[in-house]
Amino acid sequence: MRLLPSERLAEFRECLAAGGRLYGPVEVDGIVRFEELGGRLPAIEPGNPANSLKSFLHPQTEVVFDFEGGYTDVALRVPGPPAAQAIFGVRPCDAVALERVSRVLLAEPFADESYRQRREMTAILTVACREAGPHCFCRSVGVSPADGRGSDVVLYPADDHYLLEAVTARGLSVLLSAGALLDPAGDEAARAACQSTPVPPVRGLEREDLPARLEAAPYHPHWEELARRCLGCGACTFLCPTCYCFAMFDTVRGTRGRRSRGWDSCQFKDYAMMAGGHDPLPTRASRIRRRFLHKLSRFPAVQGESACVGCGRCAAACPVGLHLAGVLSELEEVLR
Amino acid sequence: MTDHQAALRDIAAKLLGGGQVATFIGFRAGLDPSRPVPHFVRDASGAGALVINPFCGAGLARHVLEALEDGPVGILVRGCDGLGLERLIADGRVTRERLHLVAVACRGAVDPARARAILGRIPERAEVDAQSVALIAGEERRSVPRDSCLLGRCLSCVDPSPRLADTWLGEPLPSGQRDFEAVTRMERQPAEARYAFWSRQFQRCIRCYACRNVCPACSCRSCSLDDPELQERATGLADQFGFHFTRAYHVAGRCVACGECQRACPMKVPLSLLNEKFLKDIRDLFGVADPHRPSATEPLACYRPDDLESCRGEAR
Repeated sequence: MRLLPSERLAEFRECLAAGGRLYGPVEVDGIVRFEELGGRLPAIEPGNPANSLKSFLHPQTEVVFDFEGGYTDVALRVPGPPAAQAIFGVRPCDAVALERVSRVLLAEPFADESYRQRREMTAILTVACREAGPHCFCRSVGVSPADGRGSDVVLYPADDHYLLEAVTARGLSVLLSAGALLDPAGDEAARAACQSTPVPPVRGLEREDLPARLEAAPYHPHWEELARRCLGCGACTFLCPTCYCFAMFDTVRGTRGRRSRGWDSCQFKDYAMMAGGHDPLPTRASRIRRRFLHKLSRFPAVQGESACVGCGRCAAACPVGLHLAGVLSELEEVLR
Repeated sequence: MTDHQAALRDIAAKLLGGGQVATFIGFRAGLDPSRPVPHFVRDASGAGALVINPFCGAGLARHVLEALEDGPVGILVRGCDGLGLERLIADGRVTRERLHLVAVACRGAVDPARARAILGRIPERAEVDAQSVALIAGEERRSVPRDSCLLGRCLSCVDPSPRLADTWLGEPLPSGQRDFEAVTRMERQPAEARYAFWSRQFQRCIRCYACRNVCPACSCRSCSLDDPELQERATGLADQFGFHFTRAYHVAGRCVACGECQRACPMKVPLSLLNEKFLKDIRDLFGVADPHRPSATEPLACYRPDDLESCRGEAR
């Protein structure tokens, strides 16, 4: 347990920046999003930045390798290992989400090497929440505003200081490197305040029989109703901190080319298209149903936890109000 | 606008009950009162769920494409929806005869996020007039300037009423002429400043394609953006410029300035400004007074043998 006086926040930032690239939430053109902090302090506002933490560990697109040559003699150029980075000002739900993503991408025997390397080079400094944002519902999915899962360091804000707690060995070394700025004291009140931050619940989400209710109604007409409204864009999935799907794609120019990987969205047409032409998710309704079942039934069945952490980004972003909290509230009415 | 709710429900119920339409597209209440969602009524008994108020922000035009597969469509139409439908009709994607348009004049839609930030809680009702907006929650009623809480696209709107209509709710409002003030301001900036501005905006893009999927001018059944060979999915700055310029050029001359792209963008990229530049150029270069309103003589969409740049010499 250490205390960081608020007036030393800039020095603490410099200390983090000395260890590699440093990112945090900043407001630019009226939008708060994670960006390289530079000389700015993280904008700690209720709720989440527009983009999610996953962008830094599971980037939207990355180069797998560049290739050049003919049919038999192909030369590959693989990018170097990722650089050290720290993300300062993450919210607990985002860090918990990363822990969920890690369960999938780090599962042996097919651990995602690129993700693993990035995770090892990344320090996640989470600021616990004293106030819920407009779309937050973490408590409804078993996440707390003071959750430490997935974080390396958690900062609990108080009026004129932060209580710092190292969650991992990586977090401990961050605190050691900033030791000169920190007072060796505790502040249980700061932690307790975050633990008791009220977060409005989402109707239907806390039901224990939710997965069974969803699985029992695969052809309910309400999925069709949702499909009429849905635009089929990927905003919900790309902003969701637990969505991890990606696709590989090659771009070839003559004898040279690049293999890349990039986020894919289950809401896109052809997402599940297979060689031979079979598409198990041929309609928008089937793709919407898949998204909600995956988050709330299939992922929990395999991993024991929900694949929604209540960050509220889908609610803030969906152009037609087709987000998790809203849809569940609708399903509560129609699934009788 | 809210006073037309009963009439709207009545008209929708009659259209559905009489079999004139198979679907009626409007809005119904969402999770909170400031966020109504597009709604598709399929039988007369469901018309009672329709709502109409200044929080109805989403454009409805694009939704007719799928709804028409089930039969004729009735639809609530504001000025922007009307222009979107005109576009779909002009592009041959929709036939006018299969639509029943219930028109209403709109003074602007309230952005629920901005309204909530002003009020500190979710607004329950709003009243919009030509001068100001009243946000109401419980006993509290606050009057604020229009530009503090309306959707960006509504502030530059000059088409409060649709040009096409089968039934009117109330009276139409007069239309105006776009002044392209924001584009003019941008044009005056040096190239470096413009490049820095757009770099900052495009950097945020997450390529979710909400802008494309919501656009009434982007109604192709198959899109080059879905082909990685034609449009790389990479999100470096050059790729982002490539994507946004490609899309802007594809809708150039057909954009109706409804602003749905900008409203739908989860990263608030000011896409309308990009499209407005094309509209302004069409006005200035081709002498079209209202380039965002679909017409039979759109300069980028019609062929004239006497066009200075036509290849008539070779053709003959």
